[in-house]
Amino acid sequence: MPKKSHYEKLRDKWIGQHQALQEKLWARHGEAFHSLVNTTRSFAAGSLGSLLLLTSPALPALPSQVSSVIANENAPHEFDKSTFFVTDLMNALPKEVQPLTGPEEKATLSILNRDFDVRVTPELQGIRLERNYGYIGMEQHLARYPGDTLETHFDNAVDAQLYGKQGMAPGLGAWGYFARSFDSLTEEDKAREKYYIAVQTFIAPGFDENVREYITFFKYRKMLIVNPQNGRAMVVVIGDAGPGRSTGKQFGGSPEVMKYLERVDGRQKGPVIVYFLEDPDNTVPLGPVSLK
Amino acid sequence: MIRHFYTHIVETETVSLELDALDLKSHEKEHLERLVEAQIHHVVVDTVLTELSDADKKTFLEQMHTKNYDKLWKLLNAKIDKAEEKIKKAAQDITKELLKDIKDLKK
Repeated sequence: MPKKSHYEKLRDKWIGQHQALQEKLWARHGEAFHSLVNTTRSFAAGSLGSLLLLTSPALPALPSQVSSVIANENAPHEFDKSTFFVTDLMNALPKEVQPLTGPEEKATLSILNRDFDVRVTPELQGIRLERNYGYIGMEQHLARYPGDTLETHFDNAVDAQLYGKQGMAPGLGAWGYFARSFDSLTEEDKAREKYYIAVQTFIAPGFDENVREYITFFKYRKMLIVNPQNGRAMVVVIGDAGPGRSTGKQFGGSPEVMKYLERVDGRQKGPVIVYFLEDPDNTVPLGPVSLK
Repeated sequence: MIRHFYTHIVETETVSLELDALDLKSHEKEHLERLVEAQIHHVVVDTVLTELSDADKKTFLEQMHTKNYDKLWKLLNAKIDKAEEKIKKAAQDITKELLKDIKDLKK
């Protein structure tokens, strides 16, 4: 049997100790956590897993099989990967929805790159967004080709029923139609419109000095968008520029994106995290992504 | 390292320096540091909760959750005799154990 390295010895010992401490904490003070979860509105209703929001710092960057062991053995109740993920994100994010500081950006990136099979970055080709954490508002469907209307927009009646009520935007997206005609519309074009977000490209640092370069860069740029309050995430593209600065929102999402993320507009608007996706070979499909 | 309500009074650099002396890859060291942080965190939270009434436990947990550390410390100072000292001691005790674990590796 190969000899364990220093790392492996400490890791195994400390994981065991950590588990014991968690169990002890739960055994001694479980009632307090129960009480809090059941009476505090900001917790996911009834989710005992949310207790870790209070008791766990950032989850160690464990191999997935180890973290699942910890999760199973420490949580006497339903307790899944998303709980750890949401816990860690909430610990890393500022209390207010505001631009991230360097350490906050680093911490959120570390969590996202640890827990998803895709890689994200705040800066690509020297370009950054003005913000990576902000409020998102509901956008409307974009016309994909000349003549695209609500009647032609959906592939099936279920989607039309689910997403039709948001209507079509009166104008085109920042990059015009996704295809020249219905006949030339590809599955990729459809996915881009379905899973699009709007970002404030026009206030990205350096935009005014490099307008042409930035517009080209942002066009259909793949991003990862995450609702930090429920852990839902999607790979999307930048399909439009906006919303306006006066709206108090920093991002917009297609009806499909907003529904999946469980984000709503208006007074109950909520925050999202948005980073560039590193996908140089364009192999990552658009749509929902799951935790590892 | 995430800022906890006790970050300003709990020292973890010693463990970090001891880990530096081991032959660890950067991600291994990072992982071990997180395990250190997690253990200290649980011990500190346990120490505080043990000293509080049920009602105060809930207030404390709420303030920790919302990172309202000013109010949190007002609560601790009002409800726990020598709160800061107790937290420091709990953290020091677990830190000593962790340092011993590292030293044992070298034997």
